[in-house]
Amino acid sequence: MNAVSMDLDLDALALKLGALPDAPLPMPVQPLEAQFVTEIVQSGGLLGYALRLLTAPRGAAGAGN
Amino acid sequence: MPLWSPALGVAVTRFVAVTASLSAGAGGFYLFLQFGAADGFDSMDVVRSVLIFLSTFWLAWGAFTALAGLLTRPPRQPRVDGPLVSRTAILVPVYNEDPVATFARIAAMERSLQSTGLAHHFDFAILSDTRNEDVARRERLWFLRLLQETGAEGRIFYRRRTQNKGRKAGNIEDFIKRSGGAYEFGIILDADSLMEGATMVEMVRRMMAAPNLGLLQTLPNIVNARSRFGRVVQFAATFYSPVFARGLGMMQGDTGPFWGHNAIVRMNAFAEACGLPELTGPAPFGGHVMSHDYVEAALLARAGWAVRVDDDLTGSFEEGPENIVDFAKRDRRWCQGNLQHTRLLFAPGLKAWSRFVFFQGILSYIAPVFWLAFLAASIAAPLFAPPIDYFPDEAWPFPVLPVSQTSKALGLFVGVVGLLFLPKVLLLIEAGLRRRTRDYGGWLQAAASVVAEIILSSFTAPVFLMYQTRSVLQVIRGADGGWPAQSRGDGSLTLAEAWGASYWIVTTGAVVLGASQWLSPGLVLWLLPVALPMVLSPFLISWSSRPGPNGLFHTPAERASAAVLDLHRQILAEWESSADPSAALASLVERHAPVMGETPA
Repeated sequence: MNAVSMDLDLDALALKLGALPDAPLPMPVQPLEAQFVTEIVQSGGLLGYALRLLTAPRGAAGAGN
Repeated sequence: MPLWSPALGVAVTRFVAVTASLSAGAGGFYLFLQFGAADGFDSMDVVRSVLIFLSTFWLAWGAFTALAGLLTRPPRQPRVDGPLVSRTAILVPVYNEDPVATFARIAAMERSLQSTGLAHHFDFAILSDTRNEDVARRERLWFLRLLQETGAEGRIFYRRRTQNKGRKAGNIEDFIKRSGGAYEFGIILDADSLMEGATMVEMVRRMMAAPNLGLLQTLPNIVNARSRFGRVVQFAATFYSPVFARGLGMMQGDTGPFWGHNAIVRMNAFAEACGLPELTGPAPFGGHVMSHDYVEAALLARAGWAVRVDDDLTGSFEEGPENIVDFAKRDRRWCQGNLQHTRLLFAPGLKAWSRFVFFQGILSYIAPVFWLAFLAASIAAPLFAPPIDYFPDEAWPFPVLPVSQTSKALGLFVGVVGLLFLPKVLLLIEAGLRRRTRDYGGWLQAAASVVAEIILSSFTAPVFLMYQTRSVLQVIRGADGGWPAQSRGDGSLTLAEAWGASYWIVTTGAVVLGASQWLSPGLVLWLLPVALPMVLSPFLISWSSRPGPNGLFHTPAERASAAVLDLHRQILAEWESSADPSAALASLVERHAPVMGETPA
């Protein structure tokens, strides 16, 4: 057995012996950021957010209700 | 109804520490305002007084945390005796680490667990995020050597992710999603962590005794330091940290800390509460949560789980940076992670203390900027000062000289120095009274080590002030520090290497002295303790990165080495002496002959 195939064989053996137990556990993503902070980031910063608030049409927040 | 409860104790400690720190900050503000206004009140006096308030508050907070630790003893925690009825996964995330040293640690921990007779309740999972193909190939080879060494096939696993989504937190999450259901508990380690088998068993027993406990953090001792700087950090972490951690524990109660490693988690609690989202926007403030540990602790607390640090748990070890530059690199990563928490301060449902912990982390990196801003404002103050009016009253023909406020400035100086050094002195006295100094070579040697540590940390503080300020400015202007692999092993730096990492600090120190001589010559002498170490930083960095005489900074682990440390040294020496690990794999390969010839996936 040459050196290359020996390496491949050892790799295969390591992967076989290293295989993790198959026992899934769900890990749901948690809400982590306040809505207004996300909006600040999406507005490009505090200044952009303030401008967006100032220029938004009055009553727009309740428009969908 | 009892008059005193642990929750009341936590509330009282928090109230006293916050009130006392705010009072100290307010005292500093008042004294400096009077001092600054002596030659005429101007806007720069207000700026400097506000900066003094913030900086003094932060110093006082550290001092009162230590005091809280000094005034309390660790409570006796409940544990379950008898047979273990749980399975625990010991998770070892690796990222381009040296597999020989890392896997030798696992072999040592496995042997240590075997000596408890309970090893069959524990599995190891090596979770590789390594991107370097050569290192990955060596990992696979040394994994087989590890199995051969320990005979723990079926209890030690190895997997390598094809993508590093979420970095270390994502690595752990990937394991939980794939295999977490097989375990009640998970012990999370770093590649350089070492834990005694008995400590891991004790952690499981304490988790079993407290069904509401989601995470239990140990206080890892730094070991194996060789350089002057490394040994000073190792001594400080061992001598001071238990008391600071106890103080922190007193204030945090069930909303305790997670430092990312050398801790045990309840697997279903962690899975249920700690799935981290990717933050919107680009790094450094968006993307993956970098300092995930603080966030995971906060999320566990939000979900109703207790998070606790038990500083009485011994047998928990890690290694630290060997030089100032490596320390600063690690700090750059932590700085970015902590500043990223500004986005999480208002996360829905978090406990107030978790928000305060985020705030503390942010302040710990911004405080040096306040100090630097204070120095700059003090140098520039004469430019803003109004001319002194010697004849404020037209009806009074004689000059009125400004009242000297030197005593107030000296009072402030003494107060700040006291907040810096008094906790360490009190800690030394406490260690002497409780005979803890015996483990450090006796009271005299411990005292000499404390004094030397204070002197050396006074020299290194201005250098770290500069590194931290640069880190904060880099993060604010949007530079992502990435995920560099940690430097481990010998960290000696030549003078040329040290110069390359600190020439800008030398320049800044020279500019500070020059500007002060030009604008405020009276300040030059006061600025020397800050500016001189900056000018000499290449010498300091290089000198402190080299091994020095071992007369000082002894730690208990050095004087009576823990069994798992000895095991690690022994296994590592044996492994390093064999150039080709595959030569030792004959019997393992023979047992698994049918696999040979298959191509790896």
